Amino acid sequence: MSAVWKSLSRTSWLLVAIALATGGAARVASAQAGRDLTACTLGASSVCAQIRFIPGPNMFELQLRTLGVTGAPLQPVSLYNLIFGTGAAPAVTPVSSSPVPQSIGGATIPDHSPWDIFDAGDVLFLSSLTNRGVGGCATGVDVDGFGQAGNTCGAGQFMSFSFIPTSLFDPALFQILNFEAVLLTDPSEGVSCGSPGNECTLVSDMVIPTTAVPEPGSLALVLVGVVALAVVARRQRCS
Amino acid sequence: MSGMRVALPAHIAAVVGVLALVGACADRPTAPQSVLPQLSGAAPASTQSPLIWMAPLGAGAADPSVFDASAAPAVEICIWNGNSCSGSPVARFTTTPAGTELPLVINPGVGMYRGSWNLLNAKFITRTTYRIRVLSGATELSGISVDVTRGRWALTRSDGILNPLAAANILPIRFTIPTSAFLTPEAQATVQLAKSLLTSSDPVAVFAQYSAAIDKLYGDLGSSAASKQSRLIRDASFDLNTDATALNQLNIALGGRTFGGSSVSLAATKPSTAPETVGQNSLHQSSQVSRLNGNAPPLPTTVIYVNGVDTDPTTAVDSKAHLQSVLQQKLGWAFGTGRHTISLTYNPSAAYAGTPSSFLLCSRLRNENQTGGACLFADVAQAGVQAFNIWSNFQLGAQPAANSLASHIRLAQAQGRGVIVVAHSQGNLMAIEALNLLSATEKSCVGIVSVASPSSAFPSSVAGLYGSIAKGARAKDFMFATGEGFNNFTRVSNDLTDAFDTDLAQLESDGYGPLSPINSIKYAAAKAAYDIFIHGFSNSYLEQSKTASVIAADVNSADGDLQNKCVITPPTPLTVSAPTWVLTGQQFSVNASLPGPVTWTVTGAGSIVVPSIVGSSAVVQTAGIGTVTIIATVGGQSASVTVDVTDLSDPNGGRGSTNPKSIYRSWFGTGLNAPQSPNSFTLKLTVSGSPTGTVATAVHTDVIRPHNGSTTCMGTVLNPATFPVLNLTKVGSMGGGNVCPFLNGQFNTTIDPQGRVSLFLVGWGSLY
Repeated sequence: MSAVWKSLSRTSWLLVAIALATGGAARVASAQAGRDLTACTLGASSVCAQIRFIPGPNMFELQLRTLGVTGAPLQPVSLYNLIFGTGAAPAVTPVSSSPVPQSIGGATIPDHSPWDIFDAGDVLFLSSLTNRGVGGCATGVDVDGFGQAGNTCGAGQFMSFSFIPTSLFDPALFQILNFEAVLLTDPSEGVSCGSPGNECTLVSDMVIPTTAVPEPGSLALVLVGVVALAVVARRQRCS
Repeated sequence: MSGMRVALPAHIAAVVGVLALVGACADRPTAPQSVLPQLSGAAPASTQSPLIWMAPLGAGAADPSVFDASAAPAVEICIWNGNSCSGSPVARFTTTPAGTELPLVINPGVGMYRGSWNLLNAKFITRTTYRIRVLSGATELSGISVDVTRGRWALTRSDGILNPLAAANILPIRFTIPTSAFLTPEAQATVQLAKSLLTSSDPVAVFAQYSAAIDKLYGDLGSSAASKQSRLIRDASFDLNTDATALNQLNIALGGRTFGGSSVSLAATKPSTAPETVGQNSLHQSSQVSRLNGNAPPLPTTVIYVNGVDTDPTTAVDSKAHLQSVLQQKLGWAFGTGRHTISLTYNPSAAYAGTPSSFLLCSRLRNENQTGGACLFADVAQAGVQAFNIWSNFQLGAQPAANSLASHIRLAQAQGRGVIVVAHSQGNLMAIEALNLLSATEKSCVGIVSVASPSSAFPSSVAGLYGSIAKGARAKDFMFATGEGFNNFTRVSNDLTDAFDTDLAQLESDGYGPLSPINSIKYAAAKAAYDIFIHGFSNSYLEQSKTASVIAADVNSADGDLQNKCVITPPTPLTVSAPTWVLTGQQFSVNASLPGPVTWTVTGAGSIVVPSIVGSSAVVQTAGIGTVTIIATVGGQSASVTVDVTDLSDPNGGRGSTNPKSIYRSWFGTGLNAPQSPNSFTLKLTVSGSPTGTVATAVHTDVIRPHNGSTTCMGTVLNPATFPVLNLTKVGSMGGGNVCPFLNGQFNTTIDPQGRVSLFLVGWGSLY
């Protein structure tokens, strides 16, 4: 291999360098990093959820997974309302959309009723219109009109909501303003965090690597560079 | 006649079940105040205010008849820190909005105020507690706390537990404020009368006065104002908690009695509640006479109102007075003239008739939680027994109130009157049972006007059968809402049902409809409250023009049917026969001229033991001495006879005396009513003591002779040897005539027109 590298012509090196550099630069300029955090409510019946913010050039995706109740894994629970501060400026014209929850990683979603997303620019509201939210592993029947639209059980299972944002949100700037869940006991009992003095506890907060899905232009340039390397190497062997 | 007889459906039990669930069959149902807070957690609303929160913030029901539409309240909403508002109000609603104020709509039809708080404000970014305050000027009438985020809300609980936030675009703020009208002086006086019901030793008599006072109130004020005053009187007179035991006793004392209709002596009567046999009064079938064609004078009629379950006596008598007022207004009937009379047969609440403790429990639930249905279990059980009884062709004995109703019907008919029974709710079951106790002839002189009945299974042999039940498109009389087939009477909407329908439609448009899982609870609570409310007799039938007109027309039609079909021959007046003079220790018979059941009672000094038998004659036993009156009551009539109980052996208490120079006349009753044919009897007389010695020592002639009221000697001494009589002389005071030979033994005599024989004991010495 070292012979190959040594045999590259100056022109070949230049082509490869341009291709790789161009592809990499294009990729970095086209998307911000995602964010994966796990938040919990306070109190004895602490409800935790994994929330992933996946930005894109045209869409923004929220992925939700309910982890259940601390110390009570068999307790059915449902996460049905989230409000985030986005760190962005208020939108001139807020936008409301009604995304249908999508399954990721095998999450079961019997109720595909649309949810409500209200994008005010600086604040993002996600709400289940049917009062059926994201359940964890423990399933439960509706209580007092509240229930589970689906269940996310195990790592990688999420209910996903995509929408066109009013601006390019930076997940790093997101903060939880409201986190509403319900314990499906009889009678039901609400669990909440986010308000002043009752902030949610962040158990983990990670950046999601952004290389997983390069954009096509960048990928083409990289391929050009690789092909160029192959051509140079072949010429070297043939000569 | 639009009547019909249908087989009582087996699912009438379901009706009873629904009664148990939703309750409030009362004439004026009490709205369930806290159903919703119980479901979603108690909200820390003010409890001392007369303001009533309605769904979705509460579960109270409005009463448009006592709604204060002029209270001019304002609603302010502020961020609540647990004790006070933080910052300026975020919203303000008024009935006359200006600037940024929002409208607070007055709905007099439903009897409520209504504002709509938009929850879709993007400023609701975190769960925050807001206080919704209702103000009258600067005074807070009531307040209630809610937790809100954008598009969601829940009642705030005081125990620290959170309610989940339900999705909603709008939070309707709905409440009612009862009228602040004050009691008139006349009504204030009636309050004192009502309060004395609980303390009087004769609550029946006091209640008759109370009934008359309410009648007067309606006459003086008109039905609308009188109805409000009547309710204020009731509310000012009783406390369901502290007066529970007394109210229970009152309920028991008044149960089955009839009040009103004094012109036919129906006041406060209570016939026997024992089962009665059929066809025993004096009605008879003769040729049909059409009074409507002028062939006979108008048949006087008596309207008997029978209340439903869970109706306290004051409310029942108010409904009777209200009905009377409606019939006066709609039909021009003049009560008290004899042509028309009206009375109440009080159907006691079975719940109240239980133990005081059960009433206390019931009252506590009613007062604290306002769950009107909680008191109905005993009544519902009674209704279930009635339903089975009717369904099983009356295999069970009728309820006591039904027996009373049958007796009251017979009483009116015995006085030559046709009867129109206006029954509400479970009162209809009483009416059906009572009709079963009547003969076909008796039933032909009864008209039925059924209101909100659990069943339309009345016998078709009544003179007229009419009925109605209130309903709207969404708000339905809960009797109707349980299903069709058991009540085939006319369904009638009115302004109240229309107003409730409008309000329910508004709730639906706000997202509080049946299709929204959580909000359907609130919708159902409001709908149940409305369904119960429109079941009330006074508020939802008589106070609403359409249904009041239907009822009045039905009564008028039933009256017309009676004119055509009812033939009544008044019975022979009741008389009682008995000997008017008897010796103590004797037995004798009393007889009533009417067939049974006869109730015998005795008053006065002395004692006569009347066995507790039911029949037209009784053999009674005397004891002691004195004058007693024996009273017979049958078919609502009473007659009496006075009996003199004498003891000749008692010189001080009886007719005899040791006082010389006295003339003693004593009568012996024979137990017969009149001279007999042949009127000749042999009686045996024994003078106790020492007749020979005492009589013989008299200066003047001692005379003992049988006498029939004249001065003529009666009878013949049969055995003078055994009754020595000494020194017989003429007695001038006896007419100067004959000296009767006298005796101690047997003699012949006759019975006088009063069924007596008499002895004159004349002596100037001691007879004993």
